Amino acid sequence: MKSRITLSLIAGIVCMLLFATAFSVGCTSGAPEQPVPPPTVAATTPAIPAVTSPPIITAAVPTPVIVATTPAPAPATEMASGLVVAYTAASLKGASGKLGPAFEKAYPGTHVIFDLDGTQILKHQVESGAYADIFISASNTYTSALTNEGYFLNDTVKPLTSNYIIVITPAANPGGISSLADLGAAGKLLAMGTKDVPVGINTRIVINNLANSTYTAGWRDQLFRNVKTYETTEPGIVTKVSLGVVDAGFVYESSFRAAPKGTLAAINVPKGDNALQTYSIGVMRISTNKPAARAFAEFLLSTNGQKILTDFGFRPVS
Amino acid sequence: MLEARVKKILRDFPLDLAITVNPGEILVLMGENGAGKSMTLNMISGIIPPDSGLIRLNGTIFYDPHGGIHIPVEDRRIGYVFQNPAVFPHMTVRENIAFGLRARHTPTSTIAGRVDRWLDTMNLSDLAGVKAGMLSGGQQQRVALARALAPGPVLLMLDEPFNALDARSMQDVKGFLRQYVADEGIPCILVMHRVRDAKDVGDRACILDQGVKVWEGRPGDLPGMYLTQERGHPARQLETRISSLTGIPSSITD
Amino acid sequence: MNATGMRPERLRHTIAIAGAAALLLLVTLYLALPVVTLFFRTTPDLFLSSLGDPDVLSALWLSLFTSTVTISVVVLLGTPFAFFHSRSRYPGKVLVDTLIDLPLVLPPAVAGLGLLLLYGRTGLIGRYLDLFGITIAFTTLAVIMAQVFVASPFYIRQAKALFEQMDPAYEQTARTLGASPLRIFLGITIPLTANGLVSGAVMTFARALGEFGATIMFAGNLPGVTQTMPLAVYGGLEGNFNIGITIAILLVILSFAIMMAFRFFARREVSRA
Repeated sequence: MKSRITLSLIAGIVCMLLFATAFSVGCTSGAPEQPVPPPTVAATTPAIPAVTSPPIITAAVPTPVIVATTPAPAPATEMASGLVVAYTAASLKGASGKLGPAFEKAYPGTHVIFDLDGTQILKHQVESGAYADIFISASNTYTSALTNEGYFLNDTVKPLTSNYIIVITPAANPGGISSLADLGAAGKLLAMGTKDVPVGINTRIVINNLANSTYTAGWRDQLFRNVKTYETTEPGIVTKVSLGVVDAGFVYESSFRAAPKGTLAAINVPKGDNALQTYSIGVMRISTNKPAARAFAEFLLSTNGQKILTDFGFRPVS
Repeated sequence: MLEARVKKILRDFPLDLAITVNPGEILVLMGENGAGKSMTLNMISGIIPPDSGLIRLNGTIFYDPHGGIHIPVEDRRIGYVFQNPAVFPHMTVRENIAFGLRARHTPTSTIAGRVDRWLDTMNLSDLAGVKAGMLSGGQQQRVALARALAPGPVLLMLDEPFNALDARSMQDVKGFLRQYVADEGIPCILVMHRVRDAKDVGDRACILDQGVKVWEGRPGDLPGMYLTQERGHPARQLETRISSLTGIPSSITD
Repeated sequence: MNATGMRPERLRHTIAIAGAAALLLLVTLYLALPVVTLFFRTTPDLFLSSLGDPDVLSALWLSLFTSTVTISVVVLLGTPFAFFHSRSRYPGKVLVDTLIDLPLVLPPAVAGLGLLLLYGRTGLIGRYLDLFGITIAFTTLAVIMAQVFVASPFYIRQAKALFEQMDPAYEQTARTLGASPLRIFLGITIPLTANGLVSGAVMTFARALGEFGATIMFAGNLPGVTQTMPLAVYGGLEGNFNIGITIAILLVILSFAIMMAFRFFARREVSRA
């Protein structure tokens, strides 16, 4: 009897190992480089062999239709169809609602799914093996990093649109903020992005520029003391300001222009002190639907796509 | 002396009862399950209020809705042991017995001596430091009894106190009870279902059925007191029921 | 006899055991591997060195502090509440019953939004507090309030069930012996339910420790003030990956420690009764 149980247990374990291996083979992508020094115990990690094979999508995205890709970069506009997964910087949330349907109309048979989040988070997910056909980054730093790490088809990486930083307040302006100087007054409640989210990176550049050119280091210090929350996405900042729970927030111009009339007020930042946020778009190397992905990128860069972006308050790349 | 007249509408029948118990006297309450015996005890103790009636002990009125009197349970100084002895399982035997004394703020110096005496009386001295939750059913019943008596109650009510006791302990406890009740001169109500037990300890007995008292008398007069042959006679139906209840064959044959 | 050389019943039996073993391993691995992977993505050196990072330390302290306050508030207020609620019949009791369960099914972000809209500066209550110069949103108090909101049902439901199921004989006996309600509550009711209350408290603490959605909505994200460990993990992922991993590992260790400690205490309680 005992040997029978042992046999069954061994059979069970073998089944489990087979199952786990099959599972993990699908989950691991052939990511060329890890941003972290490789762990010393990687060799003994159970059931995670580094195998490059058609990956299974992580994140809440359905399995793409596998389209046969031709190796030569022929004009793909007529062949574009199927699913396009676009990892997109969160600040394009509003615009994406128009861009998606417009593209699908221009290319019947396609379907776009936007995965919107802070660029830094999306970058990390991609580096961990997440699948995307398109990546729209809100920061040149992250675009360069991903390019250097080989995630893009290099010839497809192009500047898409741009954005400036602006200060917004609730329409009622409870904090009485009417100028940039007021941001450095004691007792204000401010919101901005974390130091890693693109809007946060640029906000800090802008604040430094302003401190050096017009206001003082003391103004900057008090401003940071006034910050009550560092949001991980740009729309999160907009929400806090719209709800009136903070006096002001540093967001993109596009968010101000796209907001419903009368909900927000804005204070402009002088051009010379502002930081131009350049968004880039690129087709991902691991995409299995490159024709559609290229078409999507082309569409966004075309007059139609650019018009939609301008409607939502973005500035064309000069 | 205890006088209790209580009325209460229960789920299955209305309960309407009047009993008296003299000082030093043991009244045995008998009847089927659900007849209202435990409910009666609950009302006398104050745990459940009657709909109407009067409860008086030694001249002190416990319950009188007309006079607006309803003395709470805590102040009636009644020793009441439920069918489930409900010893506090997380306390030791000693702590259990001392509980009522501590609750009434008896001086600490008095408590120790009294608890020791009760431990001795109930043969629990060896188990004094044991957590009550670890005791056997019979031991727990003895603890519950000691706990109820330690504060010196003015009325004692026990619900099926002999259930878990073995024959030897049962004899001891019966003897003890008779002695104690007589010595202390307090009234005592026992709920039980075995006629033999009733005869051993009871001074008087009464039988409850569907919330009313259908018989009262001396325990020695239990079954066999109605010799009527009439089938439909309620007393005879009652005796048949008593015999099924007590397991002692009915004296009526046919 | 078939190919395996076993009798049919034996074969079925063997398959059944193999299936059970496979199922057991599947569930265990599914739960364990994601946690274990955290440890494999860093080195002991990196982990120890990042322990000194001020963001890590402040997140750790903030989490422990707020969760401890939360559990204290929930136990101190929730126990008597659950007791009265279970022992009495009052109009609207069913409604209160439902409300107690509400935070369990409500998405935390929704809870956070609700708290923000109520206690935030423009909120129904917040606007009056603002007149007195009192701000709640974006403070550590907000973190505690968010945690209390989402975590309290774990304890209150448990306490309520325990009190309801307790044999009334103990409390009634104590009353006949002359004990005051307070003596009964502290000396009888609580000790007899302590076991279950502690496990309810453990769940509550763990839930409070891991709270994210309501916190980031209502309290915001400010290191040292409102950036608890879960928020720090999320925020740490992009910039300083090591910090994120370190904090995640700390959370795992903390959770395990909590479970171990209370299992130890719970076992001791059981052996007493």
